Amino acid sequence: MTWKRLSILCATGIFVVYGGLVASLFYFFRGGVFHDALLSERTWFAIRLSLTAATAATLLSVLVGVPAAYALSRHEFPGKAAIDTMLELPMIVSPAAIGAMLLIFFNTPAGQWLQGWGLQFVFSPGGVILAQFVITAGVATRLIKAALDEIPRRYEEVARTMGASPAIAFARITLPLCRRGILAAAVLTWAKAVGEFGATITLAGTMAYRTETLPIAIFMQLSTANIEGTVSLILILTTLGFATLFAVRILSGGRRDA
Amino acid sequence: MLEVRNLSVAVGRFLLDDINLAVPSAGCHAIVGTTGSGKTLLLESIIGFRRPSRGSILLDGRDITGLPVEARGISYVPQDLALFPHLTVRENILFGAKVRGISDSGHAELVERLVESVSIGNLLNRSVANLSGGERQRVALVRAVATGNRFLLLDEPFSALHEGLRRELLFVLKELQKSHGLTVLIVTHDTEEAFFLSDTMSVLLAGVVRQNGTARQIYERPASHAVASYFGIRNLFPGTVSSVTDREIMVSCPLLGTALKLRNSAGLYSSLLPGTSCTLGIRPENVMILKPGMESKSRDNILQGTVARLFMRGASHCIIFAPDSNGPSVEIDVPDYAFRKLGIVEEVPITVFLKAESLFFINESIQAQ
Repeated sequence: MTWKRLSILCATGIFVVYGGLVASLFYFFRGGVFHDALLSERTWFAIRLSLTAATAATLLSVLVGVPAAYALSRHEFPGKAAIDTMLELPMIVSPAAIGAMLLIFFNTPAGQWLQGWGLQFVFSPGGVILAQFVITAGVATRLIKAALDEIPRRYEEVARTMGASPAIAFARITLPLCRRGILAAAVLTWAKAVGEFGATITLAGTMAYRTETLPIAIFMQLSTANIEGTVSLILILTTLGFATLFAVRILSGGRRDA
Repeated sequence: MLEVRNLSVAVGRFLLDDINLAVPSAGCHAIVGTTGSGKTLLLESIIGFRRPSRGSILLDGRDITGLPVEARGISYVPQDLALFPHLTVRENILFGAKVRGISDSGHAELVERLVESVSIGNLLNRSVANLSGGERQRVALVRAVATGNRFLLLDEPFSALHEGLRRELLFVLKELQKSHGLTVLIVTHDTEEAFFLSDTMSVLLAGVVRQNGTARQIYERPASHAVASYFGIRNLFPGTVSSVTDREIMVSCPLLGTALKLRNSAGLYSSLLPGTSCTLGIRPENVMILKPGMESKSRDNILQGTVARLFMRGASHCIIFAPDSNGPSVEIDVPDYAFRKLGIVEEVPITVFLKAESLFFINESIQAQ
C-alpha cells in the first residue's frame, strides 16, 4: 500500500468513526420526540443559556486574548515561557478538574472575599460563563497568537517611523491584517464554549431554568434513561456545532490579506 | 546632520562595537559590509527598534537616543518594503499624514510632487498587492518621503531587483534625495550601488567600522587588508618601506622582484620610517597594460610577465597577469573596447604599469581616513 493510499484511508477512517456516531443517533431518532424537544421551554432555555453564556465567554476570551496574544507574539519579557505553557492548562487538566479548581478557589479566603462583593459564581448562571471563559481563554489566546505570528512585525515598525504610536500601529495595521484569524479564533472559541460540560457542571451545577446548558441537558436526559430525548438534544447541539464550523470554513477559506 | 557617537549594541553574542559615523545634511552615507556584519542592526538602532547599550544618536545636534521610534522623525524603507497590504497605494502614501493629523495644502502639494516625480499617479487607487517590483519600490520611496521627515534610512531596498530596474531606481532615489534635500543613510552589500549613491561611506565588518571616509577616499585608499578584501581587491603585495619623502614613498616588494613608488598624498605617511613592513595594493581596473612598443614616461613600477588566464566579465575582461619574478599574480580589469584594441590572448608576454597615484598603502598600525 502506498503512502498516499494509507493517508487517505486514515482520513476516511476518522470520518467513518465520527460519521458513524452521528448516523447511529438516527437509530433512536423519533420525530415526535424531536418536535416536542424543539417546542419545550426547558430546551429553549438551555439553548438560550448555552448561546448567551458561550457568546459572553467568547467575548471575554477574545478581549483578554488579543492583548495577551500580542504580548506573547511580539515582546520578550520575564515569565513569557511560563505564561505560554500555562495556556495549555485547560487542555492538560480535564475540564472537570478545572471546574473543581474553581470551586475550591471560591472556598478560599480570596474567593470568599470576591463573593462578598456580590460576585456569585458557584451554582449560578455567572458560573456557567466563568467556567466556559476559563476553559476557552487559553485556546483563544493560542489561536490569536498564531494569527498574529503570521503578520510580520515589520509593518508595525514602519508604521511607527511614519508617526504612529504602538497602539495606533496595532489598531490600524496589525489588527485589520489579522482580523480573519481573530474572527476564526473567536468562532472556534465559541464552539468550544457551547459544547463545554465538565467545568460548567462542576461549578454551576445542573439546575433547570438556571444553569442547565445544552450539554448539561443532554447529560440529564441520559441520566434518566430517556434515549430519544437525549438524541434530540444531541442533534440540536450537533447542528449548532456544524453551523459554527461552516462559518469557520467560510472565514478561513476567504481571501487572505497577509 | 545625523551623527552616531560611540554606539554599542549587543544582540545575543553579536556586538556592534563603538560605532561612529556622521551623515552631513542633505548628504548620502552608505554603510557597506558583508552579510552578518551588523548593518541592519545598526540601522535598526538608529531608527529606535533596538536599544543601544552605550553611545548616542543625534539629529541636527538633538540627542534622540532615548526617544520612541515615532518621535524621532526618521523615515525608513526596509528590505522587504513592508507596504501595508490591506491599503491602497494612496492610503499607504498618506498613512503618515493621517496618523499625524496633517491635512494642510503644503503636504498635499508635497505628495503630488512626489507622485509625479516617480510617475506613480496611475497607481494611486490600486491595491499594493497588484504592483510590480519596480512599482512597489517607487511607492515605498514616496511613502517614506511623504511623511515629511528629512532623514531617510534604507535597508538594501534594491537587492531583490534585476539589474535594469535596480539601475533605474538608483537614479530615482538620487533624484529624490537631491530635489528634497534628504539626508540619506543606506545599508547595502552592493559596492557599486554604494559608490553610485553616497557622498560618504562606512565599511562595517564583524560589528566594527573598519573605515569611514568619502566614497572617493574609500575607493582609492582602503585602510586595511579587511577593507581591501571586502572590495574584492586581490592585488595586495607585501613589502618594506625603503625611503620616504614628502612627495613619495618607495616600497621594496621582493615577491614582485622590484621596488614600487607611490604618492605620499598630503604627506599622510611622512612619519613612516624606512624598514616598516607594509602592504601595497592596487585595484584591478587601475592596472595599465602598455601596448607593445609603447614606453611609459616613468621607468618605475613596470612589471614584465605573461597573460596567464583570461575571463570575460561582460563590459570588461579579467586578465590574470603572471610576473616574470614568479611572484603573486596580478589581476587586471580591462574595458571591452581596450581589450579588443590590445588583442590580448593567453600566454603572450605583456608589460604592465602600476601608476604611483593608483597604488594604495596599507599599514595596519595607521588607519588612513
